[in-house]
Amino acid sequence: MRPPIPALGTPRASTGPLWCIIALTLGCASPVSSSEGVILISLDTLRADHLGVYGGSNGLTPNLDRFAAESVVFDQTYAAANETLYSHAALFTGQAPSRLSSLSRHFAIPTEAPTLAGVLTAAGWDTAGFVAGGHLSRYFGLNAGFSTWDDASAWGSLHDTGPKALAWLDARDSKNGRPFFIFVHGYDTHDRYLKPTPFGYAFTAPEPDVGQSLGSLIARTAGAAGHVIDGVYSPSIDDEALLGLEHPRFDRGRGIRTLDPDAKPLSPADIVQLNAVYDGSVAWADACFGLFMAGLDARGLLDRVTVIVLSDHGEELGEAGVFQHRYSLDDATTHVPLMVRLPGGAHGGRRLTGLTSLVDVAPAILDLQGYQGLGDAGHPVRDAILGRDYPGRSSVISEGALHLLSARGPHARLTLEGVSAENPLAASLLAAIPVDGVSLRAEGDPEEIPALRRDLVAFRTPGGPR
Amino acid sequence: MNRHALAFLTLTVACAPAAPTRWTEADALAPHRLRLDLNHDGRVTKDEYERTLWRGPDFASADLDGDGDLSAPELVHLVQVQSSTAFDGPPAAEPAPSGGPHSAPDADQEHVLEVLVLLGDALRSHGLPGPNPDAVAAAVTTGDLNSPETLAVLDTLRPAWLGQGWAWPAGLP
Repeated sequence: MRPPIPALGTPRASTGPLWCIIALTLGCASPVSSSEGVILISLDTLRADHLGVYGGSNGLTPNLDRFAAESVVFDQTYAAANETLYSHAALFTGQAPSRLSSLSRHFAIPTEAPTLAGVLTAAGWDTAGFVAGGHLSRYFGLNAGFSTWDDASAWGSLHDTGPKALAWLDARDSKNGRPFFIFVHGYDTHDRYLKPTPFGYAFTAPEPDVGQSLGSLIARTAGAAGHVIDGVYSPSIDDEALLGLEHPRFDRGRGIRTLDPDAKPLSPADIVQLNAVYDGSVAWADACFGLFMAGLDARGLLDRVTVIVLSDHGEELGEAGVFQHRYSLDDATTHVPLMVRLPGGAHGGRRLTGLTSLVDVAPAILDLQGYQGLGDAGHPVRDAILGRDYPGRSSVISEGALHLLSARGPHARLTLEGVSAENPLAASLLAAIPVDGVSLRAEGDPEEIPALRRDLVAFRTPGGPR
Repeated sequence: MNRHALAFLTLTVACAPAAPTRWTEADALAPHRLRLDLNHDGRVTKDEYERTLWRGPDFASADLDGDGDLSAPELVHLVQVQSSTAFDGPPAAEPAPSGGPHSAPDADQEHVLEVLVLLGDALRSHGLPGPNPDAVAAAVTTGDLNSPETLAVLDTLRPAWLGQGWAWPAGLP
């Protein structure tokens, strides 16, 4: 079952006294002065809807929820891509991934592309990244612009990278007068979902066959979640074959059942168990995040630095018959948390319902610090963080390597499957969907679809919006 | 208090952010500890802990003070001392699977595999041959990007990679 397109809530009415609004308008909306540092935390594969602050009801994220209360929270943030490499490239450059390179296994940020870290390094900041390898290993070029890049925690966690970042802060000469930018990343909720004691099966109903079920096998095996297609687990098909198939929802399941003699359908219990173990990974991520925040507080940094928490993409958890994140651009894989904690928790608790893309983050960070290396001054997200009105984007464009392209509006989504260089999308094609090789799926409010179609056309037009 | 003074006080109070409470390690894990307390008696006992056990430290080693209750500081210690990745396997009482497609390589092996597969994919996408699968398997087994087996694979890829006009990845030998 496909998750529903949520309606955006109306902006929360102020419950405070009128004088508070007046005072904020008159006295507190001045730009935040440059903070001593910026810490950007990416919790890979974390679905927004599993956080309490975003409506999650399982109580998995007490620390992230507390952080939200001290932060400006963007309720409707969507990733520019559904995979780690492309999404982080968009995050670092403020550009859609396809503006940088073709979405393939040899994707790379062009050397001439300005990056968040590059701008800050050039401005004299100390910059460092502590990442958990994988697609953030230096071989893919995402270290561009950073002075320090530690990617040795292969497929690791904030549990590993957080302490490294704290150690770097301890070793840094804080008397050099330079501000710092740290990027911290962990694959805490990425598959394999099973996480250390007691965060693995703590969230699974006791079963006599725990450890023996298909759900358990997938939960503890790296990469296995990506082998669930149309509700069937196909261990014998290699990744290359999976990636070679197009139109995942319509052809893959049939192809896999034909190709893989070891294919096994997941039972409802398997899906429940996988969801429960993913929940455990979310709780694990929250615990590691809480410990990292305690480390920052112990160093007296929380009154002096800006801390940003986000995720690069979400995760399908069986809703569309698949797990992992590369097979769709649904909200499950693109709706991500975005929370900005200013020094001292200024403006904490402010909720913004306007649509936001992860490509907005880097220009806004720079603008907050007084730089415009990735965009013009007065970025609307910066202004929003500082307390001003925030209408948000008309839509957010998301891309996927499996020839996926989507525009998400406030109450609707328009998704194209089968978009490729060999099958270029143009206005004429959009007007005549379905065309050979391209399928179009519209969800949500029909009245928004024409505008989303226009946004997709504009995006595909050379020189179009980011 | 005159109106100007009241307005000034109002602005001052409204502009001053409420001081957030401190973040501490024990506070960070206390809510998670509550999830382990299945009977809600305020204690996390050996029985409750073992309901969640997945080849983690046994209760006796986690319960540092030996009082039969896993406290929040003890949970902090438990989280901090465990590896985030090297914990895979069935519960300790059951035999570990061996061989076959479901046996998970360790993290270092995954790292080597990831690098070699992705480099190979890049070459194949340009119609060039990828690395020898047997050589890749031997390299992955070492779990070391600088092992002779891994370097041998990289040596086979380097000419083709450079032939495409790409810079050889800085971190590789």
